[in-house]
Amino acid sequence: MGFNQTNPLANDRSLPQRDILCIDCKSFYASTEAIKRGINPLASKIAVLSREESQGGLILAASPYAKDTYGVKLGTRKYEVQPDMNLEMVEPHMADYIHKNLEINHIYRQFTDKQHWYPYSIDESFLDVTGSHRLFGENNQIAAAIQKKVLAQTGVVTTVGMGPNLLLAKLALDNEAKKGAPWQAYWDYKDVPTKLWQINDLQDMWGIGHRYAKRLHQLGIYSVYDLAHADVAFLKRKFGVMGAQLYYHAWGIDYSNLERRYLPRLDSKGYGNSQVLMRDYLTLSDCVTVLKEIAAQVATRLRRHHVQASVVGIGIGYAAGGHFSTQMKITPTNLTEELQEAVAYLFKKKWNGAPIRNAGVRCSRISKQLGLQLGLFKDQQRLVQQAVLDQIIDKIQLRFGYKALMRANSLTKGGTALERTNLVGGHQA
Amino acid sequence: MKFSISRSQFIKTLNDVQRAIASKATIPILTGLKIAVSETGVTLTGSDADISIEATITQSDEKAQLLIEEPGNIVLPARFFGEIVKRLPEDQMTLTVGEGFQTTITSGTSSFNLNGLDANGYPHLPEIDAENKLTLPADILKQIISQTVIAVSNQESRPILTGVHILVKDNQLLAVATDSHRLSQRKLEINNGQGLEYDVIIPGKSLTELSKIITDDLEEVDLRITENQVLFTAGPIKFYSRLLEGNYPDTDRLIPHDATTTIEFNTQKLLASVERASLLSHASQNNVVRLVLDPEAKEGTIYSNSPELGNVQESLAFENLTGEKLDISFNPDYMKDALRSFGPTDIKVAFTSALRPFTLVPSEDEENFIQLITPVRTF
Repeated sequence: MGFNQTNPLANDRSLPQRDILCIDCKSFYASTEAIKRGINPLASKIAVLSREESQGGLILAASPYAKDTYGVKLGTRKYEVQPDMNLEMVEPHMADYIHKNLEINHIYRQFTDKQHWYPYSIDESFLDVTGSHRLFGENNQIAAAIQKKVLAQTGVVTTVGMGPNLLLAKLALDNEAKKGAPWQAYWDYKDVPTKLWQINDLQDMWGIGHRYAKRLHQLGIYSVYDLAHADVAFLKRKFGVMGAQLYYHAWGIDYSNLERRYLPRLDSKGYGNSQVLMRDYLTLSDCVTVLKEIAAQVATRLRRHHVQASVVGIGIGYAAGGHFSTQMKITPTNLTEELQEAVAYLFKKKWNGAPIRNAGVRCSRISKQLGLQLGLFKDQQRLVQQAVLDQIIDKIQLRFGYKALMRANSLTKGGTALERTNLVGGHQA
Repeated sequence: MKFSISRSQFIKTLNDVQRAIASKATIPILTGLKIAVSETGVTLTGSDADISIEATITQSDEKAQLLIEEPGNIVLPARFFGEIVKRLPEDQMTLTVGEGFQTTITSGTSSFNLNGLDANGYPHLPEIDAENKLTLPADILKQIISQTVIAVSNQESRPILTGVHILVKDNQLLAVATDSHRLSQRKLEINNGQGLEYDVIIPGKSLTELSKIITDDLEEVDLRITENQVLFTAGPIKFYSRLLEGNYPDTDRLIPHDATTTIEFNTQKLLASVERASLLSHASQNNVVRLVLDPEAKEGTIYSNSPELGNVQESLAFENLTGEKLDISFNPDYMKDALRSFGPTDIKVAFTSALRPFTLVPSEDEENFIQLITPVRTF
């Protein structure tokens, strides 16, 4: 690997120069729970736990105090929490968090226009405030105003990373702003050598997951500094366009732009659901049962949006590691039974018989539904009845809840639908 | 092994055989081209395990200027070999196989050395009894293929429907294909002196490839069928295909014989109208057009509607509209495929209801060719 002498930061006129804020709600789930209980979120000793009943339950969020004092963090298992920590374990209430998130984003929206506002996750949003200075002042003034307003109206503490592009704002947030009051940090291009290159673990870099990290390690690249001093042409050869992006990210350069956000086309949009199973699934019938349940969920979503899919695929993760995915063309449909037949066929074709732990169904090539294509071999009357039945089930479930009317195979061993009815985003609502 | 040959004639044959060779194959040797040289000719073989094509250039073919010095067999990497042969400088080329399957290809001042493979490792083509055969006119066979393969399914979940069902009995050959939404059936009177009877399913893909090697100068194609293979002999080319296993659904009962509304169209005019209407249905990804026939008012109208773009309506040109009023919707792509398969002629379309399949037949010959389309039920 040749040492690269060029400095992409040399010509600073070609660098993106926006004013981006990346705002995070501090310990969002735990804070929301603390506020509900009238406790100061920063001082509370709360841990939000998924699946409270099982010892393997995961900590979804912990209050800042719990994090700092006991090292409890996202992903800690319930059995690792000691009784003397005196933590209050609470179950998650996803619906509350979604509601709170909307409330907070409503405040953000007062500081820029819709095009320059981008909710990134349930507790993080990006704002481009380049055009807001005459109204609200400098970056740090805007950040302070937002923090004050969110705290006053919702009780949630927010932390703000700022930078000339999305990447630096996000990195400023994760690596500096979150560390302590006043919960703000600004990273500029000139801070790249002193701050960005101090990040030693590649996975702490935005956009680098364990797979990229592993491949980069194999090439002798272990830190962000190494990445910035690799040969960009070499990275392009190894990783394609992503190689160039990785390289420029290591220099703090990010050309993504909130205005020209990627908007998926209707037909390239897909509908998918997936689950991490609560145990290893060993038998064909258990696996097919859960896949069919997921397919039914996806079918319901298709029908709710009055669309149909002409490609259906499954993704399966094995308990011992490794996964496969496969898809096939189908006649455009959104009928539960037809999608279930397709996923069962795909699974039987590709499954190697090993226990599985992840299952997902994805429908793509979406088109609007104007009618029902009749077939030669299927009884027309039955097909029409099936479509009507699906719609009636949808309506009953929408009005009286999922449990009001469900397919009997959900009661067999493989079914997870019954247990999952109270979940939002995989956790309790 | 050594021979020299006219490169242009060799390339022609090579192109035919290469249709069967895939760039990736489960059996690696199948990415190769087999060249077998006998005292009298050169035989090229390519195969992807589903189809195999074998073509022979004989010494009696003067244009080939084939000169055989030493018989033998070799397998060469098909893609590279093809690229090499096509780029050689002179019209005459010489191919020599030396020690350890080292192959030298020379033409003019250019000389390539290529590592070959032992031809003994190449799978044997199925042996098919030469006695029982049907002879079909080449142009008719090509027509039957183009008329039926449009209706084969491309969905793997019902593999049987990806083939064309061929039935031979007495003096009749019947070819049917359906993807379960439309169906195409063609009947043909044949000369079946041996009284052969067949009931087989040939993969649609094989027939499409076969169709490409049937050139206009060819008069007849011989058809031989065994339990799991079919062999078409088209002049110097032998085309083998595996057959699909399983029982083809009974399609005879699907074809309606009564009608409540009938109408006649010129295919070209109707095709142009459907194409115009489908401009909008395609653009909005809801591929449905609506046809309204009113015998009393003597009106036939086609409609298509795209919520975002707009809509289209067109009064159709037709003859002999009789029966009940009808309002039906269907996928225009099925209609376009069907209309194209008739060529420029008049057709008769017969409907029974808005939810039943309708049929299209040539006005001149209602017996031997029929297309069936199932409608779309609109809400």
